[in-house]
Amino acid sequence: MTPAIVHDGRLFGRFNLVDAAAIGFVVILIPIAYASYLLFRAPAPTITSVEPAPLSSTEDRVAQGSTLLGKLKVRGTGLRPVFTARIGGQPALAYIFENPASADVLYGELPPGQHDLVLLDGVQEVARAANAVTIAERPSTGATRALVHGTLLDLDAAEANAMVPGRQFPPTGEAEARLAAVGPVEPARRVLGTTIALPIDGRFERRAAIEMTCEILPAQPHECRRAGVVLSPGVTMVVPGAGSGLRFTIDEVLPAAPPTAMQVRVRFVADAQVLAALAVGDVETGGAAIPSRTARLEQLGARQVGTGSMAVELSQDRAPVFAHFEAPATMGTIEAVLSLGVDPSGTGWRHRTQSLRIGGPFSFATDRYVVRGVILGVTPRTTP
Amino acid sequence: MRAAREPVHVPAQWLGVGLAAGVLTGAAYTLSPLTIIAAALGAALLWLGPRGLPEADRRALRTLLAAAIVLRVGAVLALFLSGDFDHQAATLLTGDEGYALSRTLRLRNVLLDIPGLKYDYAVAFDEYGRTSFLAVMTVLQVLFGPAPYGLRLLNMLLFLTGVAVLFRLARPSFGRTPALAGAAVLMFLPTLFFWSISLLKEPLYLTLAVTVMAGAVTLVRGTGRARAAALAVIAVALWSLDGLRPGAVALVGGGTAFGLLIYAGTRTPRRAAIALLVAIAAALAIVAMPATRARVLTGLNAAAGVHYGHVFTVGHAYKLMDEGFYVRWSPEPTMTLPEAARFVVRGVGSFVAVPLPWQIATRSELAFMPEQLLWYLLVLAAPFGVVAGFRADPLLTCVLLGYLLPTALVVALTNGNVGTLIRFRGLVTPSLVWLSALGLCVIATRALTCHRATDAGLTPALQNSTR
Repeated sequence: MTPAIVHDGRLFGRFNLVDAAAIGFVVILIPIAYASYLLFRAPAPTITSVEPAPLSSTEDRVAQGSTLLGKLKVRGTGLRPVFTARIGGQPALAYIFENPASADVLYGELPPGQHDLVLLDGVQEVARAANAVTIAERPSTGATRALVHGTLLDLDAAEANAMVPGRQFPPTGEAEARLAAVGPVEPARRVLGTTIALPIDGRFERRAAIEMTCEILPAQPHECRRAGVVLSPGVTMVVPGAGSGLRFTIDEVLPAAPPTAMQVRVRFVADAQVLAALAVGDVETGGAAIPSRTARLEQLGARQVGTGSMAVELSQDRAPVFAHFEAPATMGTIEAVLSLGVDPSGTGWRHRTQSLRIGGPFSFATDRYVVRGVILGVTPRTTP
Repeated sequence: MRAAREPVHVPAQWLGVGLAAGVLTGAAYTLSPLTIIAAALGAALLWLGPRGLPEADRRALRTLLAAAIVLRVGAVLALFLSGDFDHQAATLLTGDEGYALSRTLRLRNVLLDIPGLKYDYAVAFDEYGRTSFLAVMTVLQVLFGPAPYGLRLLNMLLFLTGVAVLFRLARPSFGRTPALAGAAVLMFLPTLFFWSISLLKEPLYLTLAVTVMAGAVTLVRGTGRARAAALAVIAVALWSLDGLRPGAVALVGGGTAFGLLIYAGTRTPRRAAIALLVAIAAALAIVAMPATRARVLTGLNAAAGVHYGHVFTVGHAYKLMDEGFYVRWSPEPTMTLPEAARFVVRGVGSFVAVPLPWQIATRSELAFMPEQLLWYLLVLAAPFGVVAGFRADPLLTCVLLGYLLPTALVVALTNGNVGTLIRFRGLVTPSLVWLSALGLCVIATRALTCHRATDAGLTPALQNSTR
């Protein structure tokens, strides 16, 4: 019997082994590959329709703080979970797969006009709908002026002293922001966690109220944005027009229009010792730069000490924990009149962050104490 | 001078088969590298799993493993053929699988510098649903390409490896029949069957938990190097469990330690009596001392909060607290001690019983009913198995119980959704099944003995007295 491979490396004594392997490759592997391709090829995705769809609060969460201006419902075939989408050459905010026949595409800022919608698998274009997305000219009716109250951060001594009411940013040309009022110069502090504030040597900060324009987009009617930043408490932004060096942390966003002067009559309820701390002339904390809105204690009635039950909130920064006192002998009430500035809101008058309605709660916090009570009356201030 | 080599005589038919096999393997590796790796690992499992066992056991376990692999490969093949042939459009068993697959494909894109949208990055690095198994899936898909089916095969092997290790633990202690019955139930119980080929973390969790249990048994029984090796293996397994599932280290590590504690406390009747007294005293102290009572209540309220979330999600819910707690939503209910006691009793009862046949609400639950009846059988037989297990091998019985009880309690008190309960109950089935199988064998043996004794004219009492 002749061996398959003879000693000179030839197959059956005729073919070179390498040549035979190459032929085997062509004969066997290519048909296998072709058959596999025919059998297992994935259908190419197609786009049959692209239609605008209404936005919901879910999509707002998906946008993760980006400006979300619209949603497209993409219908087609062979859509996949991890495609990406581009509109007019710009990446969309999100491609959200529903099923192989439907997906949502969320987009943000896009120039007006007609754009192609392109779906990509990684970097490879897999489907295109030409001129399928029409972006209308943005309405300019959403602009408004706001008084943003907060703290100018990390100033040196010269900068801190240069912050005076009326100063505008930029200093020349059309103002993008204007200082309406400022509080005293204070040492800059950094709060560690939620516990303690440490002073920073040679650096200062000032409470300030800055007037600036912001934009309310149709898709987000409850937010006012300035250069992509949502103006809301806790946000730190660069003061518009001031270059990159002037940072500002927002505490409150108020209307730019002057407030209406009001008097509120409140019955505060607290431990009698707490009520003893109240004095005529006490001023609400944190209002140095918005004096016309700051609440001030004008009159105090007689303190009534009695019995009853009350709940006292003990926790400050976690889930509320209440201590319930049954008939404590030192519990008291006191009626007080406060003057303050209020702004109109969708639900009546509003004082800074508090709604002012008779029968509703009212909180008065100074640097020394905080008391809570029930509003007995709200009247326009009669004396200057 | 070296002698000339003899010519290599290769029969022509061998050469043809070898070439064809090589070409086919190469082609298959090109199409799905992970499948070929899984095939090699499967062969290793079939060879190593039964190795060292008596001939009959070796044959039986190998047959069971082979059948389990063939059935699962068939199921994965059916999934493959039923979907579009695209890695993103792989056929999925559950929504969780779809989430895991799309998230790991997004992570893979990030690692490979393939651009994505803002949303893709948000999903890829989301805190919600984060588990180290996603990292495992991602790394494998970076190395071998997207592999929705190859990953299923690897999960299958992880699961079957865990079952084989458990069989090897149970066989010498509980006997051949309970061990084979336990292995067969684990391999072919429908829920666990689909678990084992899922794209979820459960197979890896099972294997790591089994590794810890086997390590604990070796730690007690072994000597010298075996103990050191067991300690190292336990440490690695616990490290791997950390991040796989919240509380996994506490449940598996703490559970196994609890099992060893039961073992130490029940080695002699005197020790058992002392342990019982200590347990009763601890229970009384918890109830009597305000500080400990408050801590226990805080824990139960937190568990009730998780349960509460399950009740108010989509699906078939069941309730454990008093009805009044469901009227108004609260992230963490505040129960009194009697309310908490009722919550615990209902939780444990529901863990065993839900869904009762008259609670069936969907077709999928109806399809699950035969397995639910088998679950009842396993639960009823388990106490007999525990008693017999304590006689046969107290250490293994305690380790199995140590894993089973805390996990069962946590699942019982934090669930409120039938589908989720069924899924999480699968966490304890792998330890329960051996005790149940032993219990069923004990019951069957007694029934047979009793039947024979009655046939022979002996009453059960007489039969007992002659035992």
